[in-house]
Amino acid sequence: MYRKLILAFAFLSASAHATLSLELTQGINSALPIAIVKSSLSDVIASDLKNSGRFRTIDGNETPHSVNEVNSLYWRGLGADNLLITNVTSSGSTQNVHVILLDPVSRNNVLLDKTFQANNMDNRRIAHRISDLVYERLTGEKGVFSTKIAYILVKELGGGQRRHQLIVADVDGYNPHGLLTSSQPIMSPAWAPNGREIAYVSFEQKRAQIYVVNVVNGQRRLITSFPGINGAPEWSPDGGRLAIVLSKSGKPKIYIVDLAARSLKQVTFGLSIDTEPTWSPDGRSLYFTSDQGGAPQIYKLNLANNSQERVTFDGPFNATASVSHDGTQMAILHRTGTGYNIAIQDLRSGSVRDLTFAGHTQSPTLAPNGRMVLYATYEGTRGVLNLVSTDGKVKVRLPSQEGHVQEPSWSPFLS
Amino acid sequence: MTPTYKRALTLSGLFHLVIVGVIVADFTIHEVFKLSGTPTAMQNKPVDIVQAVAMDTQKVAEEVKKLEAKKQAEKARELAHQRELERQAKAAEQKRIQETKRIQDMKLKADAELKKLREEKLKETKRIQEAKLEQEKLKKEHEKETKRVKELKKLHDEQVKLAKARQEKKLAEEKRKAEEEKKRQAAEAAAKKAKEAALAAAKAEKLQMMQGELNRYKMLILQTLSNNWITPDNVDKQLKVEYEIHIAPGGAILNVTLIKSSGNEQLDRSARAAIYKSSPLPVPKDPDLFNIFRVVHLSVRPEGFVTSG
Repeated sequence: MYRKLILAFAFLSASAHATLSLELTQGINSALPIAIVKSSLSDVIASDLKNSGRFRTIDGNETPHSVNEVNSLYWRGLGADNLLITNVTSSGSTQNVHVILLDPVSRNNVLLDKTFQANNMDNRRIAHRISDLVYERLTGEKGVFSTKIAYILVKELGGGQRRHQLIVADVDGYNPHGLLTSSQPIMSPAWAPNGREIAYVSFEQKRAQIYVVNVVNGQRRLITSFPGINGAPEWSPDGGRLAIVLSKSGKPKIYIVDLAARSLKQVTFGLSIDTEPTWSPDGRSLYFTSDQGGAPQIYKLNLANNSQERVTFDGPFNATASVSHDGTQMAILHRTGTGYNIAIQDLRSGSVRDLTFAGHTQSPTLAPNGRMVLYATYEGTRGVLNLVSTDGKVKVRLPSQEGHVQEPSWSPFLS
Repeated sequence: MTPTYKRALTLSGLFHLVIVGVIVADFTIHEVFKLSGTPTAMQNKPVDIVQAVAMDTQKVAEEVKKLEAKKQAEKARELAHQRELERQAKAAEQKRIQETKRIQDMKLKADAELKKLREEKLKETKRIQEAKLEQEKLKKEHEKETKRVKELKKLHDEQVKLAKARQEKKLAEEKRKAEEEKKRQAAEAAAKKAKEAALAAAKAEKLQMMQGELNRYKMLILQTLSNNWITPDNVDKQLKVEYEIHIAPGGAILNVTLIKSSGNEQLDRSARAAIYKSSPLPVPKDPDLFNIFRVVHLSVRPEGFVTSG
């Protein structure tokens, strides 16, 4: 009886084999479940991937070392979409790292099978590198786990004395290295695009000065030392210029320093306070904070024709812009009902999404892949750094030493 | 009475009268002769007895004719005879006595004959009467017969009429039956049509239900796939990847074949993982319905995904 009905349903099929056509247009916005086989590197990799907000780690007891040893049913049963195997073998001082990433759901499809030699790399670094590989393979985007952060650590020494340090650490807060120490404030660290230098403001001379320090060898040079404010240095994407804030002409204004030519050019004028410049990825514009509209908002300056346009319209206060490397996202400090919070503005659509809600935040700095924001907040009275994924799902506090941590800066992709 | 009978009767009566007359005349003549002393030879002459018994008109007529002729011959003979007698008068005196005797005998005979005749006449009369009666009877019978015939005819006519009526009735009946049959057939056809329509409606309803069932399972399958599809949020929403999925009864996925890549490996892979993770898919238990789901062509597009930031 149903035979006739099946014939009647023939219109559903496109082919003579009576294929049913379905269209799936909506899925879930969920973290990718990945199982990482226990190894010396698995913990760091797991943290990295979790912190990105894109992954959810699954624990398993089995320890396969090769594809053949993988019991895909077991891993599928745990709910893992992907399985990562890392084998590190050392021969002398060199370490051979074998990375296998596979898909136990889709018939053990091998997505990654890479071997590399790690010379003089500590485990964390190797792990971060593997995290980058996995992240890239599975999301199609570059991972930031091998990038660095710079921040200022202020330690109270007692008796009104403070120690200010410019610290460079791994993106997860580990391996902090002091680059500079001063009894006077150090502020506004900014990574150069080549990842080898950091510009910063130092008050060691009891006045504001902008320096550039080499991360590797610690050598530094003075860039500006004008009367008044010398602040908020930011490197152009080609690394040849610094956008800075000087108040020598009265109000704080944006200037551009050509490092090679050692020249200075004022780019904003007028009676408003213009500060916190940051470059667009193509180097042709500057985003900056200005109160020319009455209250601080972000504006965009076209360096070719000096035209300005307002960029933020959401809320009474928007400052401290940090633009992603693809130019589509901008992290900002954004005042809401609960105080100052970190938000992400999509520069294409103008839509703003809050990432934090508790207030008391400052200094957002965007990861080079635009997927995470590092910012300063308080834990009690202590200044700490938090990492939040731009989808808002994961927030993690970076471990730091004693003292107040503030003014983070995210390095570019480091080769 | 009919003219024939009348005539017959009349003639019959007439001739009877003639006969009687003749007879009487005969006797008279005889007597005359006797008286006159004419030869008794006449008395010796045989008296012709007229036998006139015939009913038949023609026969009577013939007899009459015969009598006439006889009479004539008689007359001639008489004459001759007289002559003879005259001649013989003398010679036959002797014979006279004999003759007289004979005549007496003859007379007796004649008387007898006359009696007989009278009787016969009576008889005749009787017969005539009888004939008359008979005729009457016949007439009556004829009338009766006519009446009977009439009645028969009437009956026959009635019967014919009846038969005709019956025939007509029969025809009418047949016509009625034919019409009824026609009606019945029409009703049957209509009923059949109605039945078919009802069947078709039932089928359509079943189809609709089946369609409803089909849609329900399609929704369930898409729901399952959707819940398992971790959508990449950084791919072009217009991209589409197409897979062909072979499903076993019970919903277990037998194999997944890439038909058309979206160009984005991450999207392709995410869809593939979603498909595998959705096994077993919710499929109908009914084998015929399940057949529709044996091979599924799935297009995956991240259209509905709300991108972050």
